[in-house]
Amino acid sequence: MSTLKIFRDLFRYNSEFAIGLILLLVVLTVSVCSFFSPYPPMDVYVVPPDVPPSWEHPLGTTSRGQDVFWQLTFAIRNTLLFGIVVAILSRIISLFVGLISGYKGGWVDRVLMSINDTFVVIPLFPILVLFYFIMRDQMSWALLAVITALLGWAYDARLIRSIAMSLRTREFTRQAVFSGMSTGKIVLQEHLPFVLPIVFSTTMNNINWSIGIEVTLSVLGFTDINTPTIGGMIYWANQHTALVSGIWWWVGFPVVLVIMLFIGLFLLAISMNEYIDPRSRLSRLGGQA
Amino acid sequence: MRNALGPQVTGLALQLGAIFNGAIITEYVFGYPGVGSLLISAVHAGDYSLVLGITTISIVAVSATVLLIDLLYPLIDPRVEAH
Repeated sequence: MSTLKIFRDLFRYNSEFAIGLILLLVVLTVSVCSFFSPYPPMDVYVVPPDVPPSWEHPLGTTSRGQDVFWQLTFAIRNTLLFGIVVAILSRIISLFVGLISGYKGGWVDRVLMSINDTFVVIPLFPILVLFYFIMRDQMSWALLAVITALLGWAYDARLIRSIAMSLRTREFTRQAVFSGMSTGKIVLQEHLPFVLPIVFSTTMNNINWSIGIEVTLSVLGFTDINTPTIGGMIYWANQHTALVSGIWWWVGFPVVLVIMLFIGLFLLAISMNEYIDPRSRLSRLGGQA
Repeated sequence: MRNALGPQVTGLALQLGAIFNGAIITEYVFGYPGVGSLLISAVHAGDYSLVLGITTISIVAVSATVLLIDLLYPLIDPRVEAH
């Protein structure tokens, strides 16, 4: 079945997938709008401040004289990009650790898994705050992405390891070993395809998680506040006490947009699970589970 | 009840770090005088040793609690024995 057909089927029969995809498309459209913005993202007092939503400024303007809609397009683009970069980097680490430790077993497994478990239990937030504290002005967007990725791979590495362990006992692995395939080749060519569907689903969850981290950190002002992000917008709104002075559209719309992104990705991850699990696929087609 | 308790306790042990993260945010937002608001005010005040201390203490505390939960596990499920 071609990929396009899978997508069409999922869209038709799986309402979670349909809703998730629509929400994600809305968010993507907003972020693509940033390329057509009439104002540079960091310019202030380009429009009259504190204007409520109107035809001229669809989502109102901020106390810093920025149009909320165009500001939001830059913010969601950066936030989304951050999530995707973190997800890709941490996927590479978790795939490497999970596949190697699942396939190798023995002391390699034990060493890798003790590191893994450490990363699962430690509280990440104080560590990120400490990193910000040391870096201060050098704390860029890319550096934060790398640090978050280095802290966020552990859960999924365990998941991948559990699959790799069962794959190791399958006959085709034995066949590959006896045919003289090297470890790297077995892991990459034989095991990786089995793990990929799960990796896709965890990618969505990881994007959500990392966006959550980024928003939290920047709301507290612990990131590079000169890059417009969703959390950064809320940070500036808090700095200008937007909610107290009744400028709800400054806080409200970023929150709504990021919640849409969260729900969209979450629903996509759920529907991906439905696709991976053959039993739920059967029940969709009207068979017995 | 006893059989259902096992995975829940494991889940609690794994979630402790996340709970701590959540506590920091909650304390900051609602102005509760705990470790979280202390951490954030320390960052704003530029107090490096306090930030490092809180980070270290939080990691040690969470790891110690996870170890404790693991050691208490035989109380719930007698099939698990500490070796």
